[in-house]
Amino acid sequence: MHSIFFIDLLKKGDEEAYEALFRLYYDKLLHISKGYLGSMEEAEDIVQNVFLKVWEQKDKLDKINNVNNYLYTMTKNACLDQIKHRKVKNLYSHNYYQGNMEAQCRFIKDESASLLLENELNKKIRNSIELLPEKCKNVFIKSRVEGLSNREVAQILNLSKRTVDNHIFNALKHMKFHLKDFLPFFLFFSILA
Amino acid sequence: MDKEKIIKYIRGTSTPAENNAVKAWIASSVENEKRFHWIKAEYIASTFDETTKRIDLEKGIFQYKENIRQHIENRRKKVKITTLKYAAMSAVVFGLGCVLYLVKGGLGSQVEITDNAIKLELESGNTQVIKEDGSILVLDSEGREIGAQKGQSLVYSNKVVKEVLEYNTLRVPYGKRFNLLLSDGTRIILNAGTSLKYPIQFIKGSKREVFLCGEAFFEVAKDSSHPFVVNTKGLDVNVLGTRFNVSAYPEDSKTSTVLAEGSVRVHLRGRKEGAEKPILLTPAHMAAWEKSQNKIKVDPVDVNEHIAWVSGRLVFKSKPFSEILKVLERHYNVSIINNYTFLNDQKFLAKFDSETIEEVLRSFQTSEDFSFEINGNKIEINQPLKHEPMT
Repeated sequence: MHSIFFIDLLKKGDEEAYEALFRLYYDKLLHISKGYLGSMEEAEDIVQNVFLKVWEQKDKLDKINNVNNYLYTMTKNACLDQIKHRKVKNLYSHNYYQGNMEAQCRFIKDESASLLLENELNKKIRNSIELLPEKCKNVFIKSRVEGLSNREVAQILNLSKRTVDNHIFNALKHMKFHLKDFLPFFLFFSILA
Repeated sequence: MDKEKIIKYIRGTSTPAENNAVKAWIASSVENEKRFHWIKAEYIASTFDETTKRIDLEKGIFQYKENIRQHIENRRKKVKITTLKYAAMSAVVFGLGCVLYLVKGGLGSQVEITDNAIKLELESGNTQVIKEDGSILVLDSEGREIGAQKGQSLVYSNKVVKEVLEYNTLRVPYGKRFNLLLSDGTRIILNAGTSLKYPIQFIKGSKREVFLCGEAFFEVAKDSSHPFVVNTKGLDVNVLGTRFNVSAYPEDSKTSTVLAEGSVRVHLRGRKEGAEKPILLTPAHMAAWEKSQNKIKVDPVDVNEHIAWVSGRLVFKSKPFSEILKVLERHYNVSIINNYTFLNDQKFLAKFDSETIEEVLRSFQTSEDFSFEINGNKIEINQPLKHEPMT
């Protein structure tokens, strides 16, 4: 049986998959960036750029085995770049900022602090999947349904619409249970087609 | 050092003297700095909810989708494989629909990226194409008719009473304009390269809120119990009933609003209302948010220069050439590369109505010497050919 997972939908450029990803991660990455940069306005631009980059570099998703780590690392690097960029801008005018900026960079680069934040991010995401609006949750069902074998798909298509609806309904009802089981597969890419 | 003091420092609620004490403590040893990093990480990890509550997720998603669309649009220009025979284009181009295909690198599959049509995206995510000479009906998610195309306008009715907000997004490509009449009677004209997300019907008791990426002229229907808010990337514009223009193109260096009549309140986006004093704008003034400086500047302006596009005219008053080119790109649906960078900061005063892009560039040539070449939708501007360096 050939399987499709959430990350495959991302690779295909599936719009709903990107929306689900955005809904899951946006506020959280924004919070971390704000913590790093100290400015909400800057953080908003940084995080939007990170999401745009994920979309732009869909092809690279092949090499990624952990979406959580991928997004977190990209955000961290973007914040570091931002601080360096600020440094260049301020070099001529406000030299006294520099010490503060170096301290900010050291904090972002601190490994144990990073690990703590990355783990907490992962925990938060697991909880938020259940809170996604139905349309976005369907992405996870879709990635399962698309992964069914031809025989299974044909079977589903032969059923009446009501039965298919029931199927989806039941899948949603059991989402809580399912997600706990499948989350590692959604977020940690570990499949060879 | 006391953890409480460190957290106070992180929160930014300690006095300058306390700040210095914490800073000195951090700087005194590597271990202290490590401990500070750990406490800060713990603090960030325990306060996720503060940001979650504060942000507007829907706005973020709208912006994300616009960013992607913009990115596709830019790439389309770079890898264009369709050459459109350059024809005389008047201010409004009719029926120019070309479907462009982009060969996806490596996979060899053809993916339809975009075409040059006006599009309406429904709440369901489905998209309807609007032809300028066509007539479509707009249905809500329950299949009831809530709007219809009348010529160059999309008109929403308030016959069906809705209790939940449902949005449509109207996208106007480069080279076109389109009109919109919302269910409350507000009239909006969308300029080339603009997207507007709006409720198909406003809900009694809540703000009238729309999301803009690009440029639009608003004539807001008076209804003081339901404030009208235009959300853009940089500025939020609060309205009571008035006529004004908002320009918020992502590629421009600033987001601005120009008031023609009435009054509007402008505040920076991302700040909670009331946190920073909003600016009250009076007619014939422009409030501009410079992206690089993140502050609002108010100046008196000639309203006509900013709303001439509504009637298909272009008016530039002492505008730098680099900014003029961006307007021309959108208005004529062309991409212009300027290799003669000297021109960028030159300011021009000019008016056009039905001229072609070629005629427009020729008239700029009369005041500043340069050469240009038009190749389909691509235009290249270079240093004048006969230009001899001065000795």
